[in-house]
Amino acid sequence: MSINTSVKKQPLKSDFFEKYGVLVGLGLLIIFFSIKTPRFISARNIISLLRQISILSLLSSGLTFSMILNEFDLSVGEIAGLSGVLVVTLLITGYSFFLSILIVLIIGILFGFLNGIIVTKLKILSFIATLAMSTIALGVNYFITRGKPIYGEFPAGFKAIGRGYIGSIPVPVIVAFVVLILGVVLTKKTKYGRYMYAIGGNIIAAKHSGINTDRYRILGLTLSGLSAAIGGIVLASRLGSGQPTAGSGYMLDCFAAVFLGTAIFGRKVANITGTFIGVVIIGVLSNGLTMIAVPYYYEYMVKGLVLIGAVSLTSVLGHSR
Amino acid sequence: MDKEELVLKAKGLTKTFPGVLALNNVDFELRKNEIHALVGENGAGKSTFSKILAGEHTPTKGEIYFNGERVNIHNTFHALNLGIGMVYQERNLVPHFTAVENIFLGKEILNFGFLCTDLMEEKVYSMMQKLGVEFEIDQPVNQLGPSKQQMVEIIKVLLLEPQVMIFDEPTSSLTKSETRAFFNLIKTLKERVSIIFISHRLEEVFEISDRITVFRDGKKISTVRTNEVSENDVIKMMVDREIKELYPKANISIGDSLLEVKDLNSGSLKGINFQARRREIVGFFGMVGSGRSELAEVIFGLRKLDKGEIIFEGEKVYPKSPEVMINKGVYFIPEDRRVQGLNLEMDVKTNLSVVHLPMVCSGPFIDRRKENSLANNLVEEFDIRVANLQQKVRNLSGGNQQKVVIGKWLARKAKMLIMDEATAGIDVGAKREIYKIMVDLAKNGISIIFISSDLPELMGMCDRIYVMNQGRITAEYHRENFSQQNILQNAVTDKKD
Repeated sequence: MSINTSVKKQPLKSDFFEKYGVLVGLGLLIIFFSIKTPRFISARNIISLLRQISILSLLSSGLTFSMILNEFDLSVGEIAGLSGVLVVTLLITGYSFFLSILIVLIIGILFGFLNGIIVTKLKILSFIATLAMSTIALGVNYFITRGKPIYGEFPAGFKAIGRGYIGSIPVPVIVAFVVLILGVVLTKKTKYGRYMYAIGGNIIAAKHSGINTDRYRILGLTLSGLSAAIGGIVLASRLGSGQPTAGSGYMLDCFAAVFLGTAIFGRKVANITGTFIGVVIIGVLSNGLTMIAVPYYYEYMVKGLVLIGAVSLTSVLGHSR
Repeated sequence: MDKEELVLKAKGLTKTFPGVLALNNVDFELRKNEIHALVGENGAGKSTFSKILAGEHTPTKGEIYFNGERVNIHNTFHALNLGIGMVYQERNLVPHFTAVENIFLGKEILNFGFLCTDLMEEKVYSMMQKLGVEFEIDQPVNQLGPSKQQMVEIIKVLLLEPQVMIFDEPTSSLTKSETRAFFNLIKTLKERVSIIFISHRLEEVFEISDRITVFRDGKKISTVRTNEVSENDVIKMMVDREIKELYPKANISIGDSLLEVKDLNSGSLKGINFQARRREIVGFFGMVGSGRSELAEVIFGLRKLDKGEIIFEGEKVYPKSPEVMINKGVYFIPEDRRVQGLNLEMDVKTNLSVVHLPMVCSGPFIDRRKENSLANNLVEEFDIRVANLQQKVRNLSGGNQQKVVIGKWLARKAKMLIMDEATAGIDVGAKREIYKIMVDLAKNGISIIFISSDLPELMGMCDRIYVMNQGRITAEYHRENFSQQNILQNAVTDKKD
């Protein structure tokens, strides 16, 4: 029967922009900045750019886990901020390097886990739950710091996390890449990742398939909290101090990166590789605009426009089919 | 032939969706002041056709003439402005708005920018009087019953003074007495407008309509005068084959009891007792809202069991979650495959393998080779027509989507399959293939709980049928005693009457 056998042809050229528009945009940006200032493409600047984006990369990787599940995690920035001031405080108080880091990682996991519990068991929308937890994290942060930066002497190991090099590669870049690779393996190669995508795609169907949806939603948000804590530790080490407001600015950049990544490859679902490319785009913009001496306030405007442009490119083309 | 005045005419209407030819070169004429019924199986094209007239879909090809003039209907607004209004099957009301607020939504009567509530209420009242209906106009509509909500929708459309009104399955959620009232209303309406009436219930079609147009597989088969044909003639046109052939029921000796439900209570379900045996296909018939789907969800662990016992393979079980039941070998094919059964944006392979991941994993890692061969086997076994395993499920036809939903379970050792409206919205050819799969499964010892609103389908496929009505099982019929009339009677009799 014709109705039954007619199968839609796999789309070909019309989807080029849908799939690669974001990458083309990134390429154009790089070419533009390279022409404006040849220093931009130097090895030195590339390494410095990678170091700049390592923290954003860590936080965005975490956010990707929750976005795969279709859960918003608005708390990544503040969990990172809290982690930063907490690790500094612990070190100054005299806790050992490893113990301090361990405690902070556990706190990150705890915040993420609580996000998951609130979302799944109290059935509060993640948008609201994580916003509330974000506020709580900020409160704890101010409780520790009283709103003032914390300075002090740190062990060499801690300094190395944000400022050290292995060969000519900065340590934070290595940390970010390790998390990225673990993220790709988890989401693409394991059944846990597959279940997370299944839940994000259609939670009812996932439940009907016998997947314990609550468990994986908690897992995703917990991983998000953990990544945020790692990011916060690297951030504190780079700053060499505990800055109470250091994490606050990251949340929007994280979402921009994840959404840019969602737009990439035409898959329309969050994915770690895409997120990384989103992070690179934001990094290239910041770095490039600074190098050609554009005032910082334009940077924000440009970032916003790029996000709208990239995402609309995908959604408009995606809908026209 | 008597030349009556035409209000609406369609020529060569064609509509394609990705993967489906939903409507194929349909000609149609609607006369003034007639009630014109559209019948056909699910997916035959009658809904697509009427949605084109109502401006919800734009046709791929074809022409529409309204009062003799060629029109292109761009959207529902445009259709309403022309004078074509549709009362949808699914309610289109804002639940916490009152009737008046709903009726005037988007076209409020204003006075210096302020809402003129009195005037709007007055207009609704006078329309209610003209039609001889009654409902509370100042209560949120979600507190009105389904039939009153329908009245609200009808008045909402009527106040625009349309010339054509389309009703899509208007009686599906009404009780018998409400249906009576609705028919009286429609007869009154007939004096003002021309009516297109879509229904699955042939008795109703024969009672109310002047002419009938039969759809099958996206094509118009014929338009006939209602008083010149019999129900059987129409059924034959609808399915184009003898009923026996459509339902490949085989004689299978039924096994021992597999599932026993005793005095089950949950939500609106009261005192449910039934059993299902191995190699048996057990039907559940009832109107929408009779509790069939809820019952399936309780057994599958999606809905809380308040009271009662569920005994599976002689052991008492408590269906805490789908996981528990899946591990026992009970699988569920849900009512709305797009919402509950599939991940539309994912590919065929991923959808097929999602419930079998433990089988194709080494440790936590997915073995791509094993996953591919599992998916390939299922595609072959169930004859799922796909371009390749990477094809998005969204782009498959309804029948093939449903085969993915069924197929994904059956690489596992199933003991019981619960199918909730499993053949809704798919064409006759694919239906038959699904029936064949069911018979094969039954032969292999599987017990099937088959929930459907399609009574001929149940009577064709089941060994026994339970009838549900308002949360209770009201009757049980064995195959030798199946009678359409008795079953319907038990399903629609209003318990409160």
